Amino acid sequence: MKDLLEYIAKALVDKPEEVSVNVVEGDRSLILQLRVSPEDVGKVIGKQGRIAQALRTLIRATAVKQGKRAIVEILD
Amino acid sequence: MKYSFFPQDFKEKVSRGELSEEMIEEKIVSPEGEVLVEVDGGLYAAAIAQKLLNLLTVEGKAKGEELTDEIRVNIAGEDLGSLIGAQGRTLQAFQQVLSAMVNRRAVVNKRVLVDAGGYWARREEYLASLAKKVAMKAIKEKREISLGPFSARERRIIHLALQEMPGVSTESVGEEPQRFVVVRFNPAKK
Repeated sequence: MKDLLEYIAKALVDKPEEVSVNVVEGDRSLILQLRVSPEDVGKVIGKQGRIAQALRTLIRATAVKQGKRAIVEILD
Repeated sequence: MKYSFFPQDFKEKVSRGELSEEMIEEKIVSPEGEVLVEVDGGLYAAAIAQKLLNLLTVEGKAKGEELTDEIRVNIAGEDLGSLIGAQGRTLQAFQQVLSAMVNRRAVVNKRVLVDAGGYWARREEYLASLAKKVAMKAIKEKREISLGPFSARERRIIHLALQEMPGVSTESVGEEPQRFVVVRFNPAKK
């Protein structure tokens, strides 16, 4: 899941070298903290938050397979 | 389709197999060092879609086709239910993400449409037949009928299905995600 988020984020930003994903794993939940360069935040969020929303939907769909709830946080 | 990459970006795309010599029809390096390539949009989109499927641990095979105004990606596989999701929501998210990734470096953006396991083919058939049924009713009862709420892609299918039909006009109303299609009796439309 970390790889998925990292792969997508790197393809969307201007500074892929500044993309990192930190995973905080609990028994039943998973928090993925996506960090990008401040200038790139808009690119992973998208117009009206559409990209961020789609990212969350995809991550949640994969997490469900492992019986977990996933939360994606976007940080700069 | 033309795409412009930063050199580092280009190298990574090649190393991940999203771009290969066979896919590239033309390659120019600009004075600023950016790599401009002419690539079949279908092949490029399919390569990224395939990588996404692998990372999503979905067993499927992506194929792409570039048309005049859009790129279509079709995913075939045995068990695509988790990729499609309830009301096709996961598939729509997949499409949104893929579209952003493909168009990110495109010189001119193209709409990217993704279907998996024939989900949209079935949906289109259903929506088009529903639209025609509702249109007949609107004409018969000389009134307007609203359908939905539907996503942008679903609304588009309905608009297109009734575009050539005399006696009714269509319009989308409301705000996402509560946007409906109004099918209206319109005797002036030939």
